[in-house]
Amino acid sequence: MDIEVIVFGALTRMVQALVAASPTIFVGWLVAAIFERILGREGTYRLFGGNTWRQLPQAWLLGMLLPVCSLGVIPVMHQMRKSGISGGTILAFGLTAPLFNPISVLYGLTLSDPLAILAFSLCSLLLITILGLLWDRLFPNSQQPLEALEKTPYGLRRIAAVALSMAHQAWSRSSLYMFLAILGVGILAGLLPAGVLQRAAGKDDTLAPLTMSAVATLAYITPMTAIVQVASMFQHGNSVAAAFALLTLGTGVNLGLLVWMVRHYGFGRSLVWLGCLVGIVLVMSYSLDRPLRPKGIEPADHTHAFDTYCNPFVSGEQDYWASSKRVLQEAATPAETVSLALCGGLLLAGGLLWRLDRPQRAMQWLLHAPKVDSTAKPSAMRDIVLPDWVIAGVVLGGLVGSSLLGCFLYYPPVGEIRREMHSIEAEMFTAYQNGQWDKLEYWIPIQEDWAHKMKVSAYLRGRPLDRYTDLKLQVYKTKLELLEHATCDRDRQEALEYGRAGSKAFGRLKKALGD
Amino acid sequence: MVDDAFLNKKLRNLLRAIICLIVGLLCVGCKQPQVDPQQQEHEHFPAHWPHDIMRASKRIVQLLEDSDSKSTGTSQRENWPTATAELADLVGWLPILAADSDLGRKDFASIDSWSSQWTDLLRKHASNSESIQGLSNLEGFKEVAVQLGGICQAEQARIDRLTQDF
Repeated sequence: MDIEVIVFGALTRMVQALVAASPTIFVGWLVAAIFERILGREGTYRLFGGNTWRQLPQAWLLGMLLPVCSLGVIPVMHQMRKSGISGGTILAFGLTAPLFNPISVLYGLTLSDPLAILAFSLCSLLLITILGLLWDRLFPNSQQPLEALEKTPYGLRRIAAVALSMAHQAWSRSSLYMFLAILGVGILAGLLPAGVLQRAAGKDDTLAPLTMSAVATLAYITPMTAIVQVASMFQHGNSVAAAFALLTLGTGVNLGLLVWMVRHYGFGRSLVWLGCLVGIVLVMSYSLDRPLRPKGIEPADHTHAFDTYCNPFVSGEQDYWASSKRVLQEAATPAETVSLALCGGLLLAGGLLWRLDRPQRAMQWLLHAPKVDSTAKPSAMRDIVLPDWVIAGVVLGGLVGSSLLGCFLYYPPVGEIRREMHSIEAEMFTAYQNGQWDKLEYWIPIQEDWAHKMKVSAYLRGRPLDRYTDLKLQVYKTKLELLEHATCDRDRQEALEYGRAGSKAFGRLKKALGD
Repeated sequence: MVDDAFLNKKLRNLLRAIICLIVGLLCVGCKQPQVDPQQQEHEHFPAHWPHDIMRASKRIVQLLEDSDSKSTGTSQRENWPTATAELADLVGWLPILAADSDLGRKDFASIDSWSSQWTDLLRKHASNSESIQGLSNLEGFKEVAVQLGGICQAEQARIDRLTQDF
């Protein structure tokens, strides 16, 4: 690879990862601030089951519900450590929180076999239980003593304290670990030429889980991307073992998290933990491979699921700058752009506070508000002092609730999706007729995304697609993929053939939907 | 944000290793894999994929006739499965092939039901390397093949009429 390809490819992938991670990074800072300023140290300790047997299952359950990724989880883990929670529980939470969230589980359930996602979830519970117990047995007393923290007074000042805490979280060491994680993505893109992993997950490739483990440990994937990739692997009949390794290690582990561990628990312990994790994941992967292998699917001997880990460019392209811009524009959704701006704003505020208010006078002012006697009779019904656990419960429950509500926004009604796909199909029609490759490269992934969303949307609204419509949709997705290949190869004749077949399949799909 | 205490010895070594890796990577670079576009073509479909339901129906009938005359001749071709395995695959693919046609819901439902009824049985039969003749209830399967042929013929006639009209 040329130096230009390595540099531009690595930088593009790093920015792409940052953009994709921004919503969950923002949520991570919010959750960390809630733990610090509303729940407090003791409340956080109790939330994770204290020193009882419940700590590991509770960490798993909370991890499944909170919408954070392996970057957003770092500030939360930091707060957990300050709250005196055991190392095993922190690492269990850190590993499972990024694996699943309500949106990704919903998507996962619409896989060809929902049993697969159930098995993956239970295996992740088993994995973190074994790892957590092993950690606490091998390294007892790995927790640090509960760090004293001043109680936050209630009222508007508490809300301001949460916002201020978010800014502090943004300008903290956690962000440095996040940067390292993103650097890992760049290193991977620099090391792996475009398309090199296309044949890394064949159904009968016994080395596929090993290859995937090696790549996934350095990679950063958002929970949604991971589940989409796993779904794609199932649809293409790729190795189930590799899919499990990808989901667990790719989503749960990254370079930043590993460095965080080395920093807090030491090199030796981190190495033991990583070794045990990879070992258990591999054992589980190979055990799951045969029982979960989808039946009746003709396995493709290649996949594009891992193209995003590799360099996006090949040598010989002319304008890398323009190509990078195009890749990033295509990757950023409006929600991610807003989240990125919010993250940037918090980082800037945190930086300014660090520069101008190092003794944290603003926080001290908020914490030392004039005390109000909470036992005194309230003057009116609206002036009720709510206990901290209620506020924390509402906020954390609200986060889970809003991510469930987000599912309905992310997956619009089927009719709306059909109309959107109709417009895109019209764009693609002119593009394949005239060999407009850039236009095809832009619209095909968007159309594929809508096609995936259609099935989930129907499922989410309690009216799953019947088999007739479902197979029509599957046929259309196959035609889109063939058109994508023809576009990649710049084959005009094939593009025309598959484009027409796709338009025909889309017409049949619309008819099946009652158009 | 970054103070000296933070960068302890191990962390510094790790960061150095990462920087060395990046520098090494930039100096050496990686080899571009040689991907043959021809090789990628049609990887999604096996060699005996029939492309449409009409061809699948005809092939099923042909395989049954060949088995009657005890001369399958199919296993001679390269990358081609045995006759029973091919039959199992064809029957398994019927629903997706039906979905890739203009057949209505009623015909689709019949084809889908035949497929789910016979695929596992045929696959099991194929895995035991048994011939089509050894299939239990072969007559029942032949009846299904005839009904499938009927649906396909009707559909072909409809397409021919449309082509003639326009």
